[in-house]
Amino acid sequence: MGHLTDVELQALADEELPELRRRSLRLHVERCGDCARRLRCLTGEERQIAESLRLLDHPSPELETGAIIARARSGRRDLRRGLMAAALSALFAAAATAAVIPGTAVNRYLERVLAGWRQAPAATSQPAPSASARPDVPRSSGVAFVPESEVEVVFLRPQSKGAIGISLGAAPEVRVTSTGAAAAYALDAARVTIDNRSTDGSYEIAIPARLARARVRVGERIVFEKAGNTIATEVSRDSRGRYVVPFSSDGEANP
Amino acid sequence: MTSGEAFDAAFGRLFEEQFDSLFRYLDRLAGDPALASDLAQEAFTRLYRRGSMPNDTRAWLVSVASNLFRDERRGSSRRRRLLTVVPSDAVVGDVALAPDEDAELKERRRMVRRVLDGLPERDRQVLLLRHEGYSYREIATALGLAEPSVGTFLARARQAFQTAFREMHGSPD
Repeated sequence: MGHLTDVELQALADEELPELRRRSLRLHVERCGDCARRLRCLTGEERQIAESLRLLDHPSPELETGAIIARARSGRRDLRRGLMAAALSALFAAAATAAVIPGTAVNRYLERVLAGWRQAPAATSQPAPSASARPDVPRSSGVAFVPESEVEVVFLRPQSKGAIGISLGAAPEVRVTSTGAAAAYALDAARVTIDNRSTDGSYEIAIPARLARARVRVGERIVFEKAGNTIATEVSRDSRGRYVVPFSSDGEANP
Repeated sequence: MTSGEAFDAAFGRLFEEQFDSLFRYLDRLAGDPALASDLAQEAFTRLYRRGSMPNDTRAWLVSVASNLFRDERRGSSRRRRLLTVVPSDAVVGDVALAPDEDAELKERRRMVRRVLDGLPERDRQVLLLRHEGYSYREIATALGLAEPSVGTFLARARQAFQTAFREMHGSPD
């Protein structure tokens, strides 16, 4: 019997040979100093590779099985929810439109709800209200809902002005509020769509930290993504712990 | 216990047993923990939606995750241009080190990453799966290879890894 090939040695070290073959090769190695040395060398190299690979490891995200199941179930219900979501979206769009018309019941209610939020100090990155904004349009509007395990917030278009302030918190609901923007909101089970085609205002988004996944998108541009405990975004947190993403960014053409 | 409850229980056990391993494999493969987390979650989500356990569950999960990774690579140039991963670079087992030790460790990590990224993708996948404890049969099933060829891929990947490492550093130690 000649010397063992590298593949045979590899399979022997990995204990991936049928029993008879393994015995035969093991017997050869016991009698062949050269192959025994190569096997020891290979085993040592395997150990070194294993140690090297461990240098690359990051902590696993802390996830509950329930979050994955909820996410999977949410997807399963997508079709069934389709019609309901369409109806809900239409209803909500109508409500959101009513919300920005002064004097309506919805507008009065939202004004009361948002009064507390407005008392917070204004973000320094927020621009002045758009000069084109109509004077009779309320300066704030918003929406809040409790998602299951994930949410996507979508702005229909990029803006030349304004910013999105994103914060993570303990509150169970997702809240989207606008400043200087008469936007319309459409809502379904796991998505808020903001029709910002006729405004240039700024927005604040509060996202529950418990959510397994959250994403904020401006058109097709993903500006913020949360997967488990990992956050991916273009900006660092500001002194208030918010991620303030300008609508306008280098390399992104704004209409 | 209904069949649905039994499936949920089996899924829960599998998630507890296998998620970390799948995440680690994808993290090493991609060099991007956020992406690895995303892909591992998506693979488990698809398994749940499947509604039944495949014959070789570990291989099935790797197969799905590998396909997702390939799709991600195809369309990732835009994502990578736009997004910066915010979490710290902390890796498992990081402890406070003297500055010179810390610099050396970081350099070693960079070197391992470079060597790994220099391997052909299939060789890298086979090597990483083996070091995650997958059998030749599971690797073959997951990556669509003939089982006898797995040893060939492994031997070649190991040699390439060692050669590259020696050329760059003399020795992994």
